[in-house]
Amino acid sequence: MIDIKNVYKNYGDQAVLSGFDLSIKKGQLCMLLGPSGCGKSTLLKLINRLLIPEAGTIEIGGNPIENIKPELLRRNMGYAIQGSALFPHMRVEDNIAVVPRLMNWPKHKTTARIQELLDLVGLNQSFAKKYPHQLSGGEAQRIGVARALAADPEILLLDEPFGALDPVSRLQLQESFLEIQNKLKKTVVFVTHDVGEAVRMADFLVLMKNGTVVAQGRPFDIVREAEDAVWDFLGNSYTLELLERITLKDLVRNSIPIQEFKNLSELTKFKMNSTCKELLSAMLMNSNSELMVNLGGNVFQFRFEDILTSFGGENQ
Amino acid sequence: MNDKKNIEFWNNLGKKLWIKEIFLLIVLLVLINEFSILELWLKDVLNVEKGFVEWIPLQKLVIQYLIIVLASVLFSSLVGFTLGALIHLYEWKGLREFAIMLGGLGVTFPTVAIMALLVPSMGYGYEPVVVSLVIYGIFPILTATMDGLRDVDQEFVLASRAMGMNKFQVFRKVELPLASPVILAGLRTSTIISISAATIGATVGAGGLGLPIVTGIRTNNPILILKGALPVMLIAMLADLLFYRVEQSKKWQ
Ligand SMILES: Nc1ncnc2c1ncn2[C@@H]1O[C@H](COP(=O)(O)OP(=O)(O)O)[C@@H](O)[C@H]1O
Ligand SMILES: [Mg+2]
Repeated sequence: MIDIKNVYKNYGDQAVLSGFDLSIKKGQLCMLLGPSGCGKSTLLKLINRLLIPEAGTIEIGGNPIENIKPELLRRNMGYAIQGSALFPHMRVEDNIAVVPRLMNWPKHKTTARIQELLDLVGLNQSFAKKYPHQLSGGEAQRIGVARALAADPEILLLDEPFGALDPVSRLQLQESFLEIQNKLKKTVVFVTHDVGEAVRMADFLVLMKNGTVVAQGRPFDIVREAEDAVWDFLGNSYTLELLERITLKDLVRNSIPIQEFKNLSELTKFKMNSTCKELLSAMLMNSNSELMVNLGGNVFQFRFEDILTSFGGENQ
Repeated sequence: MNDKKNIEFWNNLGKKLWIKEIFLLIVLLVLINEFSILELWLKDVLNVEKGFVEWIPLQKLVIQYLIIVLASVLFSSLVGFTLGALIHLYEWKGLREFAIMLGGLGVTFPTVAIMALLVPSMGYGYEPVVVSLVIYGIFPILTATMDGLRDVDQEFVLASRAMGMNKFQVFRKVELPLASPVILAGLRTSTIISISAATIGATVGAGGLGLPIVTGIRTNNPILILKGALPVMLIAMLADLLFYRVEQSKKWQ
């Protein structure tokens, strides 16, 4: 869907991207992870044609982007720039409606779309009439994502959309975004400098440093082929982050609940979408590698070996 | 605590009902129509002769004066804003410096002198006055427009371009509304300058409220000076209040 081939970009005599290559498939959530200053925002601006590369080509669906009128290219590509940047003089509804109005949608369609998007990002309809200064950081970033989705573009470019948030709201937003993405299956380039966020969300993970790709692939594949450079990059607790991608639903697939156990209230409660990381954490808390848990009213026993097995399974 | 709330309540009610504005307007109207009463009283208090009876009624002077002021403000904002917007849109860097320099020169050159210089070509009357007031009024609006547009946070400009707006859409939907408080402040300055400078027009025969003031100075008659100066003051206050209202009406921070 997006093919970036051998792209060079300088600011003055500072080279930001030098020979950058990347292919992103349709419907893929591509997490672009790299330290700040490595050229992530620059790359998104190049895809959006806000910047023009010194050399190399960028194609959307096989079509070089310089063949498309910049305004049209941009309207068909939802772009949330770094720091949400909601227009302070427009109400939330008008912020969301910017691109639909540029595309001359009929009024009723725009109105319906605003309601639909507020629902989608989990905000009450009463937010439509608010001004950005009346929103919390998390609400503003939800609106930023809604605005990028407004005209239902095939491609989403999100530049640290959940940056500058407290860890709790950040997790919430990541979860809601994954739900949305599972429904919509957009082609997403999601920029972040947060290892946990990248690993947790990626279909396809790209590690970027000094304007080049250090490694790319599915999150589990990257571990398998990992070289020292990658470990330096991700930190040695990367595998723990990966555990977040395995849910208890994956673990219980081959086991049956324990029937004879009666005293449910004594057990730690878990949900089907709780992660292996939480399970491991509970084992550590109980100093026990075997743990009985209350999983939605059923009792299951998990052992540390179950985690190892499932991790190995994902890691084949 | 309760007192504070009470005061706030009355303040808000006053704002809603336009109390201050209506009060000023009534004072202005009464002053214009019933100046003869004040004149008699002032004559006793200041102990001066009434001077010769004005041959032009005060109402007519006020109207002449308002026309001069409104025409000047209208033309100077049209020219100042258009020029400022064009300089911004087409990034005429050189013209920006040039405009600021020229405007600075214009403002330091005395108004009376400009009016006097214009008389030979335009004759006596309101024309040289309007032209010189326009020359004066352009500068605050021009600089406010240029600076206001230039100082818009580039984050928002980038965001609007990223969403597919062209240059003119960015201008109309984002830059202009965000710059509007600064531009409005420029318009306010320009208007207040015109209101006070328009009185000088009387020296070149434009009439208006400057006429009693100039005549009063010549004949050493404080009553005549007040006859012109009081309405000017009230009009300036009223204009200021109206601008304040427009500034306050914006709902975003
Ligand atoms: N407009 C610009 N002019 C000059 N240098 C820039 C500009 N934008 C970014 N840079 C530089 O280019 C590098 C990459 O920036 P950026 O793409 O914003 O990084 P990231 O988004 O990964 O933090 C940084 O060193 C930054 O200082
Ligand atoms: Mg960045």
